[in-house]
Formats: sequence, C-alpha cells, structure tokens
Amino acid sequence: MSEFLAYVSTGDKRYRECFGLDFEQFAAGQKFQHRPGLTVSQQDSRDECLDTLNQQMLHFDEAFAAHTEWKQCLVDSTLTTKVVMGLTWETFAKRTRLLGFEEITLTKPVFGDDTLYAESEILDRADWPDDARVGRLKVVTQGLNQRGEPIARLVHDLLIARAGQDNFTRVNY
Amino acid sequence: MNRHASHVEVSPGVYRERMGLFYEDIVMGETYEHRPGKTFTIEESMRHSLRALERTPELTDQNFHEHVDDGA
Repeated sequence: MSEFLAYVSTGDKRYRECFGLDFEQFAAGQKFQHRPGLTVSQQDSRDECLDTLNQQMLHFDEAFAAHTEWKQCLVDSTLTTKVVMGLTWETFAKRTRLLGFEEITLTKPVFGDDTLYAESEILDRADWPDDARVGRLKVVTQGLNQRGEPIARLVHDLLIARAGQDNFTRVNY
Repeated sequence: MNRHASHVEVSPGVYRERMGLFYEDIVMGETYEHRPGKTFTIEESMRHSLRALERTPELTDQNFHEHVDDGA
C-alpha cells in the first residue's frame, strides 16, 4: 500500500509534524476520507449571514422558517461550501493555487447541529507546463452529513507542489 | 503500518486521514515539533478580552498605547 507520513525526522529521536502529499504521491482514482468532521450550529450559519451581508431570513428567522417546507432554518450554503473545502486542508496542504471550481452543487439541505465530513477523489492529474515545481489535480470533494448522505459536491482544480518544492520544505517550517 | 503514517488505506486506493499517535506509538525521550503555528491578531485578542469582560485598555485600546511612554 502507499504510505504517507505525518511526521518528518529532524534529528535523533526528534520528529516534526508535516502535512499534505506531494504531487507525485497523488494518482487518479485515489479517494481520501478527511478527518475530523465539524458540527455546524445554527449560530454559525447566522454569523456567516451577518459576515457576508446575506439577508435571506430562511437562515436566521426561525418563525419565518417554520412556514417553509423545511419547518426550520437552513444552514447557509456558503458556510457549507467553505466548511467542506476547509475540512480537506490536510491532504492538500501543499496546494499552491486553487485554479477554480468546475462545479458546486448543494445536494441536500443542512440544518443546525448537522455534522459535516468531506471525502475527495482524484479525478485527474497532469503536468503544469507554466511551472515545473507544481502539478495540476482535478478533485471532486463530497460533503457528507452524519448519516453519510451527500450534501455537497465540489469539483475543483488545484496546483500541488512537487516533492521538495512546497513552501514548508523551502523555509524549513 | 508505520506509526507515523498520515493515512491508512481502508480499501484498495481509498485512504483515510489518521490523527495523532496511539499510546503504543509514543516512545520515551522523543521530541515532537508541532505545526502549524498561529498568528495572533489584535482583533481576536480584543474579542477574547470583551467576551471575558476583561476591559483593561492595555488589551483593547490602541489609541491608549499610542499615548503611553515606554518608561511609563
């Protein structure tokens, strides 16, 4: 099996925490189950709406939400999106650029106190002609709730540093 | 499996992130350097002060600092 390490040796009986795979370690078809998950609260959703000037009261007015088909407030989808992306940080820690999103689909409603998890599959990997220090990955990241139901699907393209070319290594972090 | 593995292969080609070391993996005398670090901002310090009802201007008033002599 492929082995990925969470520590590098920095001396005798001495280890430093490190994160992320090098571009060379990724292959199309690999799936990564990200940990930990995150329980999102209705207050998190309210904060997100206030921070982003989102005035959709379905996200923060329980009395209003009681009259909708969901009978309760929904979690704001920009919060869901950024939480799911955030949960993937470790495996893709050597990302140097997020080139863009090909797809952002919110497949099921999220409610306060739901717990979000993320899983990613490598769809494609290719050289990046503009810069030999990185390579390009196409990744589909799925957000899942505590019942394993898909709640979001994000297809994104990113650049990942090749071995020894990441900023952690370059500045001896 | 290597005790320092960051992922475990749960089925062929499917990797789950692992977190931390098990008790059995800890060896006496070894040193671990934690990453990442965290940049503290004045804003979060202020927010913490306010939530803790800690109102000393040394933590919350930038204007105050601009008027304080080093030797004062």
